[in-house]
Amino acid sequence: MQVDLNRFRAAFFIEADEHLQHMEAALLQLESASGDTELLNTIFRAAHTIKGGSTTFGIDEVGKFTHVLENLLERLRDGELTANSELVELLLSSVDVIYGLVSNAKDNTPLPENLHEVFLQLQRVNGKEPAVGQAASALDEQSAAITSGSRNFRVKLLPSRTFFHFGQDPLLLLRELSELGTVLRIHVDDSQLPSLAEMDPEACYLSWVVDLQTANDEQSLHEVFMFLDSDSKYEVEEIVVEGNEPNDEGTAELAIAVTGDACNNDPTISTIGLGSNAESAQTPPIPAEPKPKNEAATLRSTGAQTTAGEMETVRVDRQRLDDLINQIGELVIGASMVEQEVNGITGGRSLESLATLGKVVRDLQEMSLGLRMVPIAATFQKMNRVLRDIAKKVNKKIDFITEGDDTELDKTVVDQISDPLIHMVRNAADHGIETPQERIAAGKSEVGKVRLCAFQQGGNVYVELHDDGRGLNRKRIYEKAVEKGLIAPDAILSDAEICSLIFQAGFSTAKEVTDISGRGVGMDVVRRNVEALQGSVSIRSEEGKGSVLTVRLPLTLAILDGLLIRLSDEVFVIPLLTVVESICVPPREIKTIVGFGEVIQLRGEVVPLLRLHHLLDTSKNDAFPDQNLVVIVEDQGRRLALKVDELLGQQQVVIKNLETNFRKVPGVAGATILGDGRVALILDVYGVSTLASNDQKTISLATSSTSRGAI
Amino acid sequence: MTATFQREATAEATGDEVHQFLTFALGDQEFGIEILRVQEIKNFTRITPIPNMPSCIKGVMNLRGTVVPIVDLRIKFAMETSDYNQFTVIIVVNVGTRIMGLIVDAVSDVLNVEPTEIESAPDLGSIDTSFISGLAKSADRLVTLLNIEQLLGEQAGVATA
Repeated sequence: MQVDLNRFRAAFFIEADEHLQHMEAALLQLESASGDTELLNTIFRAAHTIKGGSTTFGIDEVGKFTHVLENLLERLRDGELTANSELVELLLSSVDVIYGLVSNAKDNTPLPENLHEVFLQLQRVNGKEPAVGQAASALDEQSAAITSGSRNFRVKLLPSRTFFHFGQDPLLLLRELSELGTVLRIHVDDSQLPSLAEMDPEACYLSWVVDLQTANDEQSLHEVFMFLDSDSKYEVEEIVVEGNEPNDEGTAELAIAVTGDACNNDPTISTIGLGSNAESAQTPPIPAEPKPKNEAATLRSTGAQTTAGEMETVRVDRQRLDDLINQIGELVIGASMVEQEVNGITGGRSLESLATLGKVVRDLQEMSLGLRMVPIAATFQKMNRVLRDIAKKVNKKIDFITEGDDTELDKTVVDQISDPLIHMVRNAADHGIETPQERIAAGKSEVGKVRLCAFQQGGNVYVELHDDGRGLNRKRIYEKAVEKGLIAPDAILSDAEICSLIFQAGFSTAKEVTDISGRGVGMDVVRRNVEALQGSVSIRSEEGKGSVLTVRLPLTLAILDGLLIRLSDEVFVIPLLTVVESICVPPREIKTIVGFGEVIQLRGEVVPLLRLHHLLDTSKNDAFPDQNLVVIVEDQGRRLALKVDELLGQQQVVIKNLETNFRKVPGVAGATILGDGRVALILDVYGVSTLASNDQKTISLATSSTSRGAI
Repeated sequence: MTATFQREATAEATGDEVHQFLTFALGDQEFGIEILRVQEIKNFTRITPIPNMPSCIKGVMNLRGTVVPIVDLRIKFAMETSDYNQFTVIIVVNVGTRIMGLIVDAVSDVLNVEPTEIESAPDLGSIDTSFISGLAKSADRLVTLLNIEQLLGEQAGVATA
């Protein structure tokens, strides 16, 4: 039992996190659309679910805090308060506090510092009459008038058979109901009770009808049933007092009819109870378990619209998913091994059954990889908050726009792109966008614009961050680079080269270090993080007009389109994305440039030639020194010619990380297992070129020392 | 089979005191690794070399879908190298969370050692013996017990950060 509870506890933490994210997202939207009831409902629902969950698991701090928050939200929803930016600010910090409290309960992290401050603020707003104006207080009076007169309700509780399996207790619900007002009558329907011999002692066969007189509004009755399981039903119906005394038999009949049908999600059942009040249709009355699936189902049955983001989902442990994908990867390898062997037996004649198998396996693999894909929206959402906070801190006015939120990326990539993006967004807000005064002086609109967009192109996803700020100051970057010794004082650099200097380690041109950015660890960390994801980052900038940072990311980290090549006895994989073309170069077209190495001329362009045999140390002897088959690859705008022995073909390979059991190897991005079961290394083109330049350096050092010796 | 029973019996009698080691040969020397570290023993298979690595790292092999680095212990211990033959095996060991393979000449048996039979590694002055956890003497054998973490830690990339 203990174990079970812990598992639910873990699930609660995951869900709390998600609800908090939803709350945050809705709050940020609320800032611009203060009257949106749907948004308010989303926030309220999230807060309520967190409250319920935390109370269940005995995390009282969260429960207490959310309770106060909920009161405030309720008043917002009822129109007593207006969501001005101050209030949204307070609500956002409340979300942060809940994050803190939840992580305190989960990992024993210290309690959030501003807990008491925010709590007091919430209470203050709650306690005090709304300062919004006459209209609100008039509304207040009106609603008070309604609630002061007590109303009669008929509440039906129709538990599912499996009611007790969810740890629920009808007594508790009934008791809670009785606390809300005076119980006029209570009727239990035992007609479903089977004979003792047939009875399942763990099943619930009873249902109840309670007539209640209460001063509370209908919503509070709905709240009693907030955590009912999805198969159980309840109804709340207002009874008009005059002479409309409930008819015993009729009630019983209705109850029977419904309990008999309780497992079906029959919409009519819900409408019996809910039709009486139009408002209640907007707030889902039965968010049983805080699972999106149930929520969506409930919303549908009450006739309210589901929001686009809500889909039926199943939560799966990531490790299990990865294991599945790995196994399917092995299946692909296994299938191609079979194919090769069969081809060997049949002498190359392909079998139809085998072709079918191959297709199914490939489809299966594609599908399995799709399982890991998630939209980037959540990460973008985070950026919204980051930008907003910074803009506040540095007193700038910034509009934030996101595009392509639904672009899908591998879950790992989405998770790991967050940090670099935060850096980028911070930089844009802190350095990129000018202060309002500066902007007006420059003849721009006072409000800066930051646009984050994602789109897919080929096998890559691009994330671009546009800002219309001051752009890069070439002169300062150049001076700074010279000062830091990153470039020679007389170096002549192209515009693009100057811009890319900001990605160098230890480079920051901010005049002073703020706590937001300017510690000189910004952009090079971005670059390194992105490169760790097998992506790249670049910048375009126009002085005075703004900059565009482009991050290129692979769609997935699990699989790669590769060009298989042979070097001596070994097979290597070159990522196909980097391959431009492959050509045969006559020996006479290979020229040696002293102190640089060998180059070839490719349609007028001089391209460095790298002899992979030397760099990768496979065997120092080039097997075919005269046959110059080269693969032209491009990396970050630089072209390289790689000399190989043979092109073996193109193949999708499953990437195996070398670091899992070993360590990072320069020039190697990973390994893969080929159809024949042998391991092939995947080349990291960027790393290979670095290897080469290190090689060149040692060569040029050697030559310079010998030449000095000669003199 | 009887031998195994006896071994288990002694292990039970003295609790967890008895340590079991898998012994293997490199040239005319015998070495032992704690048996709990050993995942499996494989025949020598094809190894894909990794460029620009110390010579003792022969490369990586495919262990049912996992890419496992292989260390040649003869080279690691600066012993005379010999050609791999039908007795050459790869001992797959767990080092922390990592899996690595060790190429050895041949595996011998499982050795039960009482703690009292283990002598600490001799102090050889300037020579680093931290990867030797002790020497076990049994009958006429002298087995060098290896500390896998110390021995392979650097290969496993612990020190590369």
